[in-house]
Amino acid sequence: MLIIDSVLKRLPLRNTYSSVRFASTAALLLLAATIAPDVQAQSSPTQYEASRFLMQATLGADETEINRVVSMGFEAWIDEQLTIAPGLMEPEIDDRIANDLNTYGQHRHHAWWRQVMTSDDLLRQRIAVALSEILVVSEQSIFDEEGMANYHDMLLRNAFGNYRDLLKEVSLHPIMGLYLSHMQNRKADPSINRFPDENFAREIMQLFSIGLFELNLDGTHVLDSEGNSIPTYDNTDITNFARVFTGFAFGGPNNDINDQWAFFWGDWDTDEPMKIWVEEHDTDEKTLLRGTVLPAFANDPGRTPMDDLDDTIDNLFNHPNIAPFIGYRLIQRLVTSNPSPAYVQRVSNVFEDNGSGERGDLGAVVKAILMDSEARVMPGSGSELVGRLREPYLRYVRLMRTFNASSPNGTYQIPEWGAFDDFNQYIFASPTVFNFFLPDFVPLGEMEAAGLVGPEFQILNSTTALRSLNAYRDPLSDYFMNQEGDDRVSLDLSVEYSLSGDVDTLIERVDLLLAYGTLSEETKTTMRTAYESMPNWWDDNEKVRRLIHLAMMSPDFSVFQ
Amino acid sequence: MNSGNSNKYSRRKFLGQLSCAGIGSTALYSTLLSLAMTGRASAQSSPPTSPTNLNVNNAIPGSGDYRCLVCLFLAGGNDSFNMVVPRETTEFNNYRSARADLALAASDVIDISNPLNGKAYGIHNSMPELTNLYNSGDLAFLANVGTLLEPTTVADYENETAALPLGLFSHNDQQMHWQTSVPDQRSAIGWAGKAGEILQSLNEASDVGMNISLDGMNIMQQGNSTVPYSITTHGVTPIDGYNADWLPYIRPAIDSLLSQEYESMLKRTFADVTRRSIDAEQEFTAAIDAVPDFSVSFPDNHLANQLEMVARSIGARETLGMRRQTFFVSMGGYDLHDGVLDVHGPMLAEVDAAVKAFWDAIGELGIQNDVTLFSTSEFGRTLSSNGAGSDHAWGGNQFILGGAVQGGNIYGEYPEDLSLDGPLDVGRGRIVPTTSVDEYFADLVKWMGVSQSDLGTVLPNLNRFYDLSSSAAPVGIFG
Repeated sequence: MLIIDSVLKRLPLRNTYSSVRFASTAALLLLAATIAPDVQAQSSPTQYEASRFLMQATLGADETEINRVVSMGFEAWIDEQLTIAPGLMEPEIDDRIANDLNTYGQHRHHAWWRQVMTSDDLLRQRIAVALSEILVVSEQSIFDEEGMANYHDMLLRNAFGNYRDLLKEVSLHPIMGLYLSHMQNRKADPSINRFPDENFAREIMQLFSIGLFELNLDGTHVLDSEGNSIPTYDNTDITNFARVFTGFAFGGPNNDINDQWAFFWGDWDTDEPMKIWVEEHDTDEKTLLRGTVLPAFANDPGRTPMDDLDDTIDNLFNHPNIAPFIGYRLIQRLVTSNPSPAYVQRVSNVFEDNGSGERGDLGAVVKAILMDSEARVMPGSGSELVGRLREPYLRYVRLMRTFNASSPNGTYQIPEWGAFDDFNQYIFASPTVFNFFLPDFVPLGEMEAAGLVGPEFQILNSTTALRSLNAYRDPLSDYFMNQEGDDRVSLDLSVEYSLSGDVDTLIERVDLLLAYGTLSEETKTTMRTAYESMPNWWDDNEKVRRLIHLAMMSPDFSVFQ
Repeated sequence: MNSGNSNKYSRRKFLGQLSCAGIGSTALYSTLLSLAMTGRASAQSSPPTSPTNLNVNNAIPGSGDYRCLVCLFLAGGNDSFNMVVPRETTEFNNYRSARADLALAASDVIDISNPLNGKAYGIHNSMPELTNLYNSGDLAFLANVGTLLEPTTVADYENETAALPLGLFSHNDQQMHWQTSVPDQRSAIGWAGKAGEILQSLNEASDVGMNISLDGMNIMQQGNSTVPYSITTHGVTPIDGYNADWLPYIRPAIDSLLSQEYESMLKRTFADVTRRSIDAEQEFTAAIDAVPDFSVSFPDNHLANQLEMVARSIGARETLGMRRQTFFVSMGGYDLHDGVLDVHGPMLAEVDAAVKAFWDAIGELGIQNDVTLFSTSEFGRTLSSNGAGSDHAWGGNQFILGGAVQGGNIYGEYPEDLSLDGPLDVGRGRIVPTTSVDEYFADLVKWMGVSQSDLGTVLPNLNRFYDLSSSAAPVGIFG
């Protein structure tokens, strides 16, 4: 007998927080063998291939979108998406505030849902969620709806922009300033033993840009002559970076950086970038990574605190780690938990140079991730080790999106109070800056033995394993489908209902929409048997919804390959 | 791993590495995450034999081989300087003037004495049962406890010469800090979770975890490699319909989906966890269903319902093979920015009746010496009034109930002078704590059997307040 929550959760003793971990050469070889190197993006994908592609590139898509991809091809679809303007959250929040309506966390969630459900920027919405799991802030500590919405909008706006711009905007965002406490962080005063807060300085290196260990472009660790990983920074570096992040406080039009009072007591403006007060900023010389020295202001007339910030962002952005560090994390969110080093290398190459000499072009990186042969190969024999456990909350979102949830008045007041307890995941609600799960989490058992990571398995435990499955039935329940009122949200299952008399066709359709044709014959048989043994006094529509729920509970759906 | 010793050794070796991690607190966090205290390793290496094998302190002679902590979390910030008030004349007058329209009168409290300093105190008169338990020696109070990073004075606070907890006076951060006992970080690893990982080898390995929450996910019981086992007042939540006769299709369908031979290793792992989670639910449900009803009747409110389920679960401890457990229950509504005098008393009365019923139920199980219930709350409240309520503050008073508790005492240092701008006031009657949560929790986990040498693992900041080589517990709640 085993203690389940313990057994399945474990990190290896070495390589903690490595960007990429391959404990087993055997696993590497196996992975390599499963991937046909020369799979070219097809100009006209099948419906199944299109459905699978949209599982990677969107938070959910319906049959219409599948058919668009079939007719456009992958590349043209991506190129189109890269040009679509972001569907932003903050306007809905600002409207509420302007109309003197109470504005709480749920309203921000409703605003997010509305964009996810109605905006055309499907790829951008997906990437922003992935970025929100790397550049983490959390509503569990921050209660400012306008600022939190503005932060997510920043991720949306920059999703296909340049990572350097994004990293700088993150550093200046007041929500990040509040979350990682460089807001109103003062320069040292050794006479009273006061030193700058190091929180943001540490995390911008460890989590937002370069990570703990020197990486090769393929994501593997650079090793020293004794075979050890090489730390990217030490505590002295953190201290120097912390000195850069001093003097930051609320920005906005009324907060004057020449007025020291405004540093402490200026307007609480969470949708404007922070400003930097030179009086509170450490203006002495600072030594950053790889020999970069920021001059003391006294020796560099005209130098401003913003110059310090720009130089610091450049120091991280030009570090060789950033391409594999960010690329690996995005591949994990979109495609597979255990990409081959060659895949990471290909994506890193595009991060380093998008083909026009630009470094850090996220749009190009996203396209490279999705168009890669390793992303495009359909699972089949030999796919034993590929794929990822789908993020549990995003399975819920996918259900809503696949079946076009909507309400008569166009709002998305989705009742999801229990989401965090059901999934241990909820958009914007990470328990800590380390996200809901770690990139290198290793589930114990055969995945550990095979040298595989499985980040999402970190939140699969004996509670969530059951509660999450129940939560997927909420949108399919009578309660959800048959509420009264203009704000009720319900799924559009008209096509599925019309197939209630033809269970095989119904199952094929569910298979296409939710599992891109990967429901096994056994799974389909199980579903058919269940469908036929449902109480005969049940409404046909109820049977259809229950059948969809069974598919949502199946391992074939739960794991994306 | 073949022996308890090697298991222990690898952990110790790890702790050694930890101290030289040297990349700062997040490196500490990541290293702790690697601390693979797995149930499997424990189960293989150390079947539940003699606790001494495991370097676990089992020092209470004659007690049964079971110990359990129940955390009662009063969410929102209990106004606990109205739960325990000073009754010496000068101290009472200072209290009355500081609290103004929030002050209790002499007739609002039940007088008790504290033998530790010979002074008189009063307990809110909505808590007669807890007062009786205090007088009978089962219940103690701990005065003015709160989150600290180092011993801190008002001058330290004002001159910024002491490090202060992140997000002082904020609900979420202070709740987090009470649960991690590491208030300089925002971490998600709790002290009870870490203690549990040291102690869990005493339990028979089970798919039911030893840390059970009646309040969903909480950080306190989250370990480096374990999460709390979450139940409701009705028990474990199964897959809807799995146990229902009227939905006969669900169980075979689920069983069939989970028993397929998947080619994908990830699917196999997913199916395996789900299968075992279902089995754990079945095991737990069967175990608590077999516990006879208590003769005491619990009040019908959410807190009492939670505590009744805790008592039932404790009643199933032998079936579940548990020798060490923690439980987490909560009651919300303490954020009384308004209505302190009207609302606070009835809320404390609810606690009083629910805890009394729980205690009687534990009495029916005959294991009062083996169960300790303790209160927590993220902060005390301002002594000064905002009109009819109080605002977020810092130190507060807690109670601890247990047969093993040296009850009838008020531990810690109840402030001698609660005057506004008095010696412990950092503003508006926010009282700087004189006992850290680390010291409080150290007493609790030592009683559970965490050895002196492991205290620093569970409570990494404890050594800032307490000499780890001392033989006495920091507070002395258990003598």
